[in-house]
Amino acid sequence: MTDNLACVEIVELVTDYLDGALPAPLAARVDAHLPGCPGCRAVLAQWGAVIALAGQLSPADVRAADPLVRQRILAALRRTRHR
Amino acid sequence: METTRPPTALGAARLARRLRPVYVAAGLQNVTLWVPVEKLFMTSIGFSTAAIGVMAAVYAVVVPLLEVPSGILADRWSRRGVLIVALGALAASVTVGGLSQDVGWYLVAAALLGVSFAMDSGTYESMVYDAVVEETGDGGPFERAIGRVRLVQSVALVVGALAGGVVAEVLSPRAAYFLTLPWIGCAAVAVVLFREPSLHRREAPEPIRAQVAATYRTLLEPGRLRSVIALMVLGAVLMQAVFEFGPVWLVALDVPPVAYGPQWAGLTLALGVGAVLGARPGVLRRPVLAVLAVLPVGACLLLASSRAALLVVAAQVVVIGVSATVGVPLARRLHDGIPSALRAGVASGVSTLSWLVFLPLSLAIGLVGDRAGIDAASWLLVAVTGAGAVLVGPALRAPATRTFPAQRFRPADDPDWPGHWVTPPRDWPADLGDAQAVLRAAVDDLPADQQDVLVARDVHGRSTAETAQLIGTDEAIARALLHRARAHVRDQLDDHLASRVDP
Repeated sequence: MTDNLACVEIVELVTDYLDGALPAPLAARVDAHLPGCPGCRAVLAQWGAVIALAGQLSPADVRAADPLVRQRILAALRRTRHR
Repeated sequence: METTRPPTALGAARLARRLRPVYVAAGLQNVTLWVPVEKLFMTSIGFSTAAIGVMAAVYAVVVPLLEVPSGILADRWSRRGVLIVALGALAASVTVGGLSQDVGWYLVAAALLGVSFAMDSGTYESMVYDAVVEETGDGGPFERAIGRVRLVQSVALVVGALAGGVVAEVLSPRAAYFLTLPWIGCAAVAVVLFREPSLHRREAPEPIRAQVAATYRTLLEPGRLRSVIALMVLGAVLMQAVFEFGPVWLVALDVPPVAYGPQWAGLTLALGVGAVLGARPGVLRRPVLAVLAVLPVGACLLLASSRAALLVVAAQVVVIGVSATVGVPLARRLHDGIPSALRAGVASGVSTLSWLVFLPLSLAIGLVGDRAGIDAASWLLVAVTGAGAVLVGPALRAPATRTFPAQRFRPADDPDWPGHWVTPPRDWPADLGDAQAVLRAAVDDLPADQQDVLVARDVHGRSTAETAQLIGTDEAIARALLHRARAHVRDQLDDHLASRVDP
């Protein structure tokens, strides 16, 4: 692996980075890349905007017409409650 | 150079309609009635074994020489146009061949066939991939589409071979050549009816030297594509070796002549069925990939040790089938990683590399087979499948879709900023307006598994562990699905905001 992460690799890591799921050295290299790269900072900000906007959706907004999805989520919730 | 993207559900229906001429053309082109009786016909017009060797050599020289140039022509001019020329060369080859009275003219026919094959190679794939991206904005449906193309091709080959045998019996071998012509004509009509994608066209065409250099550089540069290309080459080499030398195993086992037809048909159908299976998303799960990596090695070990004809044929079918299966996600990864303007050139280049590797291998198989028997030559195939097994992980475990198209970033050998943005994305405005509606539509568009993860994580606020358990997978895959889902939503919002600012 190269010492400096390039933008093309950074954008693949954004979700893991925001989840804190990157191994510490890799996360540190992302941290090192961001201050000098307005493009990747923009992508990170856009990712955050997507998450925030999605969080504002009510569960009813989101294709509640699909009974299979609802059933699966309900079944899983029932399972976790009875544990 | 971003294309507008209609909602996915509508796009899928339009894609199916748009690709129909491609499926039809691929099928019609492969109704090659003359193939089963070719050697018979050649012997009747005076071919000795040595002359057959010369014909194979003519073909083996013409194809690799012309593949990449015809691919670059397809990229600069038109993929459809190159296919029409290829069909013309095929028609010419079949006509000259059918009219031949001696070796010389048939060699001309063989050269024309080589031209046709070289122009075909890489062109269908590139047309299909670009049409998929144009209709749905994503490389996802490509695997199903290319699987279907391969299935249609293999079924047509088998049907054509059966019909050709009948025609040669009832009429004559020459008739089998001429009766292929109407099928070629219909294939050409289907190609003309196809609405070609225009993603590879640029406003200002690149100078040809730069395009040639970029094509070769993409083929050979170190990086993520290298393991993909290497595995594609090994797969192609393996398939070609089994098709070419497969019957030699049957000869060594004294199998009755009636078995040779079914053996060839089995291999050809395995190609199509394998490709269709390769399009299924479950193929990339770790246990499935492990099996796919090891199965061909086991099959070649069987080839080296078994004396039972049925097992030998089954092993050959497995090798072809698995290679075809793995080839589909590999093709997806190749095309996801290259810009449209280089697509047909690079795809042809992979085929040329396969030829270059196959030639010494086939000489080696011939040599070892002569000295020590064909089962000893199997060990060469064991080595090839072993090398392939090692590459399966690196080539296929990495996620397929790039978050942004390859051309947004500078290439790996850029002197100043390799891998950095060509044009960095702009920050979004503070006021996102009616983004909620766009977001809802984008989430609706998502394939079911991505939608489940996004809804569970970002709407319901569940953790990765809970989400992974909910959809029945592991955390790494759940996070990868989430990444793709968020990337799609981001793309839709970005398009919406861009069109709002610059109406």
